[in-house]
Amino acid sequence: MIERIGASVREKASSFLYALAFFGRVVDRSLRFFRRRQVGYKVLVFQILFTGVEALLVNAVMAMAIGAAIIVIGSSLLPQFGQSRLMYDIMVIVITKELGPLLTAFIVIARSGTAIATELAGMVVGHEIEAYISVGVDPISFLVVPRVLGMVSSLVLLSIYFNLFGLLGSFLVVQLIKPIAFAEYFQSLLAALAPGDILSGMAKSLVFGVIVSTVASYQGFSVGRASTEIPVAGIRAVGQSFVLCIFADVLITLAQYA
Amino acid sequence: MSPETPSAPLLELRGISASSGGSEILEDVSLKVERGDRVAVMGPSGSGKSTLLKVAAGLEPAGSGHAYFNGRDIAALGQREELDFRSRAGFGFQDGALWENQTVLNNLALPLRIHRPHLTESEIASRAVTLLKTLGFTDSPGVRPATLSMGERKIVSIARALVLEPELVFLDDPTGHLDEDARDRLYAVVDKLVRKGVTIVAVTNNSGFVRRFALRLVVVADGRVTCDAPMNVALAAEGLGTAARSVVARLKRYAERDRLDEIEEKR
Repeated sequence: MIERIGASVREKASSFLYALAFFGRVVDRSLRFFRRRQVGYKVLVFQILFTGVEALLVNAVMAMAIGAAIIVIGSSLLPQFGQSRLMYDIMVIVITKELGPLLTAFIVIARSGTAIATELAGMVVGHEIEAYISVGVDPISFLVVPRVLGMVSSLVLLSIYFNLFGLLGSFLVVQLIKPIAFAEYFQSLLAALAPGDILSGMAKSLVFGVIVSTVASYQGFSVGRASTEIPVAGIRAVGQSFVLCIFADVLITLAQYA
Repeated sequence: MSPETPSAPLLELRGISASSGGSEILEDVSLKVERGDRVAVMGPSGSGKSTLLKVAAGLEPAGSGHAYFNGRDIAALGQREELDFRSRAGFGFQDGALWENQTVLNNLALPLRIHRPHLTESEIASRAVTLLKTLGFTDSPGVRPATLSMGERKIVSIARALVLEPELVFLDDPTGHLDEDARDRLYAVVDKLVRKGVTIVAVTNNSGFVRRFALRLVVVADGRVTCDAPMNVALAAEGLGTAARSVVARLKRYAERDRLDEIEEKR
């Protein structure tokens, strides 16, 4: 019994150290990415296209729906407590600082996190990674770094889009329910919006981008030789990314308000 | 950068052990491959031949022991040394291991782009297409590997291993999935490598390939080297283990059949 527990602890500690070393190598290679002659730019462009551009529509729809829901709920509930003026503050906090980065990360986890993990896992099982090593291509530099950089920049951009659609796009939705003058809406929003709120949201997106891309890549590389391990890598990548993003969100929020 | 040792064997394995999922695949394997040597690694399925080749090529880590290229530990090579080693050693995979998200042409072009940066894109394409044609690849080089047969995948994998004109070539089951014509074309290409003095380490159980090209026979059984000798010595050896005896008997039968065929042809 004690032996089993000891072995399990040893195994966990060893995989944790391996994950740390993997992350360290990704950071090291990322810092060198733009300094060297690279063949990974194409992978970077494709990653931005897939993670950033192709997720725009679902991101925009979600942002507008959440923005509209906050306005509808806020405009009916807050006046009952004489706090109507807080509606825009709540909207800014929820969209730019909390839900924006987190929901964008969830969309990216579901689409790109699974894609990266299963694609890399498939490459491991098909010996494609060994083939890259055999011709002198570092898989971290060529496969992981462009995906990490692509996903981080896409998440930050998607987060900005979420803010735009959530704060401005929702105005259009509100017109159907409770018309408000644009000037009044826009001025109230600007008054509630502080640069720190936007920066905080972007910082979260950056951290989430690093988490999702690194976890997905790590899980992709963790498979053995069986093709049945490919979907397992995808599932693990999603689960761990969700947990780590929420954990990071709480930590960043605590650091801001504590 | 640790200096190369000119007197050292081109490739050397010292006390290599490797395991996977708790089971031992290789146990204390030592091997020396000199320049210009042509080594056939034979043995029963699951005996550890492919693992041995991958460890020797630095593609799989050894649990213990070291693999040396020109006297330098492959696992301890720096970034530049590793690039140098990779440009001088090609690896043809058993199952092709082609990059599925790239075209056949790009599968050959990527190593050239990395190791021959002075070449233009048209020169790279020309080299790749010429090599593919020599090996009898008749499909368009613009297709993706998913559309290829197993034999075609094998041809592209071998072409990728040879595209940098390496001095050491690892071939894992080079004749597997190849039809007679493709095999003949492969033999012609290997003939050229032999004339150039390229060192070849091939894992195969194809007696024809071994009889034609191998200068040395290494038999692996249950993760251990049970025979390592020049081909003529191995064929005449007594007191070999079961696996090595079976391999040698097969090679002798093949040689005898070949001899009878030749006599028949002369008549």
